Amino acid sequence: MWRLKPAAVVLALLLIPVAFGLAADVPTEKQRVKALTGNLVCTCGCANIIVANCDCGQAAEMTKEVAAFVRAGKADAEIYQAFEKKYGPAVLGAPKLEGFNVLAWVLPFVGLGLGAVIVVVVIRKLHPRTTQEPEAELTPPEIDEKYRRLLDEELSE
Amino acid sequence: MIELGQYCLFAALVLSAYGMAIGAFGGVRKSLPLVRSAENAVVAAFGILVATSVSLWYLLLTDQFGVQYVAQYSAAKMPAVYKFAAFWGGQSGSLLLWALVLSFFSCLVVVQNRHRNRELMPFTVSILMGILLFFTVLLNFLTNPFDVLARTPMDGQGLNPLLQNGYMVIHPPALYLGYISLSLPFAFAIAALISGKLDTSWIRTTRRWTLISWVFLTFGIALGAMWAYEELGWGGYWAWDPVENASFMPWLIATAFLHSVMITEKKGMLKTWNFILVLMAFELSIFGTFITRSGVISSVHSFALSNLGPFFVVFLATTALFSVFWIFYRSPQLRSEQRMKSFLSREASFLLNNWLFLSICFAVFWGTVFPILSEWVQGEKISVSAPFFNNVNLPLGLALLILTGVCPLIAWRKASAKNFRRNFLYPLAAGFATGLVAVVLGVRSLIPLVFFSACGFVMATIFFEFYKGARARQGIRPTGFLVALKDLAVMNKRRYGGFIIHAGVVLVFFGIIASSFFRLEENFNVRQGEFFKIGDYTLAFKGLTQRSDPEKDVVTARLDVLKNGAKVAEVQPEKHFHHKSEQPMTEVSIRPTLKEDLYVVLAGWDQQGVVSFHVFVNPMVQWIWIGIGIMVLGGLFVMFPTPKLSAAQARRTEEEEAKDVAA
Repeated sequence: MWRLKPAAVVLALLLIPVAFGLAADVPTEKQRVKALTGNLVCTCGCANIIVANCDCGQAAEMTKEVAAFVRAGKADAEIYQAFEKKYGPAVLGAPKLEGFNVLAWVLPFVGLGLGAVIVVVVIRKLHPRTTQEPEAELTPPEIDEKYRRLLDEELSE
Repeated sequence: MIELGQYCLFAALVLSAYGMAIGAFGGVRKSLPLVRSAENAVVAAFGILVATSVSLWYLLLTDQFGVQYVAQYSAAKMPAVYKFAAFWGGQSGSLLLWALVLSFFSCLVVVQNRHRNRELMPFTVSILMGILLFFTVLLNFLTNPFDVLARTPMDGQGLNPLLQNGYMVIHPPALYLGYISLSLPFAFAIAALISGKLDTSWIRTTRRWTLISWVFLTFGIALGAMWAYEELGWGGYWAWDPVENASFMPWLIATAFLHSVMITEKKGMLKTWNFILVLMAFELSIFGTFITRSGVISSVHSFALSNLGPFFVVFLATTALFSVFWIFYRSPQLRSEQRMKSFLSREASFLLNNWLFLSICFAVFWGTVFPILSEWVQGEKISVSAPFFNNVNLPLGLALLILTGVCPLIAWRKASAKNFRRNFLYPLAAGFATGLVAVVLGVRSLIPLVFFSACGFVMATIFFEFYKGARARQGIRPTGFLVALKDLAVMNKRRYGGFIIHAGVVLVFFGIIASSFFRLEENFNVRQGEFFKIGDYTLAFKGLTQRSDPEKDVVTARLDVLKNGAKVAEVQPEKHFHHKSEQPMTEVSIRPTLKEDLYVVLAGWDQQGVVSFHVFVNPMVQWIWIGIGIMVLGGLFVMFPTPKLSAAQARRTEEEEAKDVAA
C-alpha cells in the first residue's frame, strides 16, 4: 500500500489552492450589485437579457434600484422579493425553488441520476461477473497495448 | 424571375416526392433502374433548387420590392453583400437555404456512392428526399419566398441593422451546414436499419458525416458567439438564449456520438445506443431550425405569427416514431458482440462521457422549454436565463472537463491499479502546479481555482500522450522528436486529432472561466480631454465626431489607451443611427490581447458635453476563439485523408483502425 503515497501526497497538495479559494473576501457593495443584477431579467422587452448585460435605459433604472436596496442594507432575498412584487415573476433570471418551479432545478439532476443508473445497468449487463481474469495477464508490466501495437505495425512493414 | 422561382420551387417538391417514393420502392424491389432513377431525381432536385435560389438572389439584388420577402428583408440602399445575405435573413429564405443545402449534400452522397454502400443507397436517397419533401412543402404552401405583395412599395424595410455585419454573411450558413449535414448520418443509419445491412459500413459513413457536421456546428456556434461579443455590446459572448441553446444541443449529441461510435466500431457494443444518438442529433437539428426561425420560445407571442409550429411538431414526431419502430424491429441484430471487462475500462469511461453530454443536453433542453411549460401548467410567465444555465451546467462542465483528462488514461478493457497510478501522477502534479500559479497570480475564489487546476491536469495528460507516444516511436525508429511526433499523429489521426480537439476544449474552458469570473466593468461619464482608469488601463477621451452615409448617421468617440503612461492603442466606439430603425446601434471597439480584451462601448452623451462610456476588461477571451480554432483544426485533421499515403495504404490503415481490437 505504501506505493499509493505519491498519489495521496499530490491529492493533498491539490487541496492547498482549494483552501485559498475558500478564504475569499466578503463582497463589496459594488460586487453585490453586480451579482444581483446578474440574476434579474431586464423588463425592456428584449428577449430574456439579464439586467447586468442589458444596455437599455430600463436596465440602468433597475440597476439604480438594486444599488439603493444594497445601500439600505437589504438582504439578497428581500431584494429579489421586492423586484418580484414590482415586476412579476418573470423578472427573476432563474425559477424560484418553490411549487412547480422546483421541477426546473430538480429534473436536470434527476436526469443525471437516471443516466447514472442506466450507465451502471449497461456496464453490469455487458460485464459478466463470472469471467474474472487475473490482472497480470492483461497488462504486461512495462509496455502498454498502444505501444505494443505501434511496435507490431512497425515490424510488419 | 418570380414565376421562374415559383415553378422551380414546385418542381423541387415533385422531384423530392418522386425520389422518396421511387427510392424506397426500388430498394424493396431491388431494382437498379428504379434506384438510379431516384438518384437522378436527387441530382435534378439540386439543380432545380439552385435555379430557385438564383431567382431569389436575383430578386434581392435587383430590388424587386413587389416580392414580399424582398420588401421585408432588403432595401435599395443596402450594400450588395447584405442584399445577398438577406437571402437567409427571414423565415422562408432560410428554409430555402435548408432545402438547397440538403439537396446539395444529397447530391454529393449520390455521386460518392455510385458504387459504394449499394444496399443502403435506395433507402438513404428515399429518406433524404423525404426530408427535402417536408421543406419543399413548407416552402410551396406555407411560407413561399416568392409571394407577391398587392402593392409594390417604394423601398424595402431592410435587414435588421444588428444583422448587417460580416458575421451575418457567414454565421447562419455555417450553422445551417452543421444542422443539415446531421440529416445524412440519420439517413444512413435508418437506411441500415431498413435494409438490415448492419455491419460496420454504415457506421463508417455515418461517423464521417457526423464529423463534418460537428466541424460546421463548432465553427457556426463560434461565429455566433463572436457576433454576440462584437455586436451586442454587453461584453459577453454567450447568453443562453434559446436560439444559442438550439445550436448547442445538436452539437452536444453529435459530440457524444463521435465518442460512443468508437466503442461500436472497435468492440461492436452499444449499437442501439448509437442509433438513438443519431436520431436525437437529427431531431434536435430540426428542432433548432424550428425555434431559430419561428420564435416560439424567445417570445411566446410570436407563435401566432408563425404557422409552421404544428407542421414541425408533426414532422419531428413522425420521423421519431418511424425511426424508433425500425430500431425496435432490428433490435435482435443489434446485440453487443463483446463483453465489457471492467468498470475501469475505456468502454466504461466512454459511457460516462456520453452520460455527461446527454445530461448537459437534457439540462439545456429542459431550461429552454421550461418557460413554455410553466406558462402552460401554471399560467405564469417566468424566465429561465443565464443564472439557471450557469448554475446547472457548472458542475456538469467541470465533471466533463476532468473526464476529458481521465478517460484517455484508461486503457481499453481493463486498467490496472499500477498503470493507473503511473499515468495519473504527473498530470495531477501539473494540475496542482497550475492551481498554485493561479493562487500566486492572485486568484482567490474557489470555482476558478478548481477549474484552472483541472485545465492544467487535462493539458498535462494530453501533453504526456503525445510525448510518450513520440518517445515510443523513437524507440522503434530513430528519428528526431518532432518527426516522431508528426508520424505518430498522422499514423493514428483519429486518436491524436481527438487529443488536439481536447486541447482546444481545455483552452475554451480556461477562457470561459477566466472571462466570466474576472471581468472588470465600469461606467464613466467624462468630458473631452478627461482621463479615466480601469484595470491597468488609462483612457483619454479625445472627442466626438459625426459623419453620415446613405444608410445611417454615425457618431464616433475617439479615445487613447494608455498603459504605464505610454499610449498603446486608440479605440473608437461608435453609435449608429440607421434611418430605417428607431433603436440606435452600438458599435463596440475592442482592443484584444492574449491577456485581456479592453472593450469600450459608447453609451450616450448629453447637451452639456458629458459623454458616457461603458467599459469592460474581459480576461482571456481570445483564448476561447483560439481554443475553438484548435478544435476545428483538430476536426479537419481527423477528417482529411493523409496526402502521403497512397489510396491502398490509406485503405489498409483504415481497416486496421476499424479492427484495432487491442490485444
